[in-house]
Amino acid sequence: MPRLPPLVLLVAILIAPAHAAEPSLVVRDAWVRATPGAAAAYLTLENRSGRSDRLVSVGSPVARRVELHESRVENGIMRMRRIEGIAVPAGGSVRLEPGGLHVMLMGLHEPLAEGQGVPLTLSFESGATLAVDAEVRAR
Amino acid sequence: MTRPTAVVLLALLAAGCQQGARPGQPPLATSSPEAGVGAETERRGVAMERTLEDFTLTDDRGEPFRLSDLRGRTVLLAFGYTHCPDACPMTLADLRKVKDRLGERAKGSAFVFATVDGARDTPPVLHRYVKHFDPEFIGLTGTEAALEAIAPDFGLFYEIRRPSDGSEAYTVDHTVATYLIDQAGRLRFAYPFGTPPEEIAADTLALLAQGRSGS
Repeated sequence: MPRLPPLVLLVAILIAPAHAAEPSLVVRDAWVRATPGAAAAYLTLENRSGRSDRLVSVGSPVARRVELHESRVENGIMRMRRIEGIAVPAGGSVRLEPGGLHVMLMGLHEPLAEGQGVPLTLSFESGATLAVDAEVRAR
Repeated sequence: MTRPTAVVLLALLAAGCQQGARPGQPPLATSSPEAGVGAETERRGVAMERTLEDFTLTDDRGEPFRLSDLRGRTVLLAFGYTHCPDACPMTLADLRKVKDRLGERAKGSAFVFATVDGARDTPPVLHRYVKHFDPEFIGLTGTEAALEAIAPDFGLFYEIRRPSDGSEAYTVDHTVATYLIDQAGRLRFAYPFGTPPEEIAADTLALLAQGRSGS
């Protein structure tokens, strides 16, 4: 790894707190619905920057595998599909909510208890990552 | 495996019944102040009246269970599977809300969740699942042949979707209506996914009131 000139380092250090104070991507209302058969996480993503981004993956230590899914009713049939990413428009927001977009937590290592926090790490196309604790609700 | 045509059949059947109950049948109250459904609310449920074939499946205690075992009670029936992370918990949580709205009168009503995934949803698995939502909910499971037999009556369609990466976790596409069956075993309403529990509760209460008045 090339060594950075001291001035660049200094600038980087000065800029970092400013970014932390005004994050461009924000997660709100994260929660997990856990039943004895399956678990899904829901949340709202807000993009306060002028550049659109895309949620491309979610990780969680509680599950063997985490996927982005979309439920859609077609002709009275509920179809659920894995999707590659979820766009978050510049200056806009997207809601992952029951009956639509969700984060599917597959192969839970242990059953989730109501009230428990589930750590989620969200990775975006821009390289940004966000960590959030989603509270487990039973229904 | 049932064919999608079953869904089309239900849609056609439903379209023919959309005007409400048959002539000679007192129309069900579609609103009641108690249930909080105002006249301005658009109805989602489709009224119908058809006699259902009796069927036998296996309940969540592993015992044979006939639809006719519930004669004399109203029945709210939904199909799904326990590995379903999104839609089925919504349906069951809504059924719980319906039950809560019925209060004491819920005694006259049964709440049934029938799985379309008999391979994974054995009676013990179903038992844990339905009791998670309510101790009185009934889970039903059966062979594919048993489900095939009742599919036409409910326009039931389901299809296993295996992931392309070969992992063992599969999902099941399935029809998501909730059905209201009256005390005589006739199918009276089909509610599309997302119908407010208030509407389903109001219709159920109306049927329960009719049952009490001895009609």
